Amino acid sequence: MNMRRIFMGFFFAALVLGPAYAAGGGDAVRKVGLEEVLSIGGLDDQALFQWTGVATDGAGNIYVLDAMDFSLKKFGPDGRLLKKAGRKGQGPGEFMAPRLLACSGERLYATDQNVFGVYVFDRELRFLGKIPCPSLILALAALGDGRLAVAVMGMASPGKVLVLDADGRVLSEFIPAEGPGKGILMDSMSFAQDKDGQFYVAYLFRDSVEKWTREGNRLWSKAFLGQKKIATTEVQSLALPSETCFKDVALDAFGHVFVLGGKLSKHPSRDVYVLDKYGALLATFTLPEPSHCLHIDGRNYLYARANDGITLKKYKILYD
Amino acid sequence: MRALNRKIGKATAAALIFVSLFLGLQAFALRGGTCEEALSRCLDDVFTQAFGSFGMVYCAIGFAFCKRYIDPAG
Repeated sequence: MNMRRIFMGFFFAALVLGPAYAAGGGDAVRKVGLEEVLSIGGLDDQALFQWTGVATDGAGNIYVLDAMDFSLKKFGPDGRLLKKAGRKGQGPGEFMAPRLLACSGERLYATDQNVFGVYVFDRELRFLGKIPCPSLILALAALGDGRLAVAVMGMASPGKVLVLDADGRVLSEFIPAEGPGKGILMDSMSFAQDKDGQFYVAYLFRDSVEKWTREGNRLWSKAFLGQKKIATTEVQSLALPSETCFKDVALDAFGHVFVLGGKLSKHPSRDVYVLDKYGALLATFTLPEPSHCLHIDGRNYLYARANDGITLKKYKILYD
Repeated sequence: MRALNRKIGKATAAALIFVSLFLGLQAFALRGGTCEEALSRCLDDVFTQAFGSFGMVYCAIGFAFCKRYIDPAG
């Protein structure tokens, strides 16, 4: 009888705890390393001049926005340049300051720093049109079904995350930047969305990484840099934050959250903090060179910058 | 007819200012120097000033991108 009770106890414990562990992505990760598998662009070629945005598709193709070349480029899985589109200008499919890039299904979404909207291309880099947006865009994610999430900022109002449909209609919005630290640019952010539609937000000028529901409820907020107040610099009576906290956030296929630290990290723009979906710090690792962004594809390859944007590196993520 | 001409003239002027503003704000991407210097130049720009708080948003976004993408010490 006692043995039966013990067995039943184990059975129920496994029933309750098993899914919770699995939902955490098997968060036994203690160490993360990188193995370089591909390098695109170098000092002695003209593949890239200063890349800004990167995206990948399911076939392993790599798409890159090149700010100094005013173009969108497509590279094969082997790193060979397959196609190039765009030129300097303000016409359809042209760029003045290309910045952010995302891929979903057959579509590529690109932003230009000074354009109210998102350019849409197909995977052959044919320009398809522009999705209008009411404000300038600081962060971008493709959510599937033609929907986009964008982070926008205002001078008098706090920054917001908008979910847009394919015609630019605002489907939903929330304002993540609340609490102390409000001010010009204090709501500058990067974000990534998980499979459940929840947002991980990393702030450029605040020591804060947060998780938000798509309805706009904050689930948690974490600080990793020990910075209560960010130094500011005054430019023509504008007090602006002068040191960056977090430059980007990306999710791997297991749901781990990778946050790229900025200047205030021990190794500026190189330290990456790996969190579980509850915000617990699992591991940190350091990129070989400073990067402005992180991208992780569906096969857990990580893409980052080298040579000040002349080179794009692809790494296999090694978990321990 | 005169009213229509005036309207067209106003629209053309506004379009010209917009185009010039966009061109002027490329300073962030193209000129060297620190992000603070680029911001200062952007705020000094006559076209930025013409657009008041909108112009300041342009400059501030340029500053944020500069800090994230360009400034090696950022």
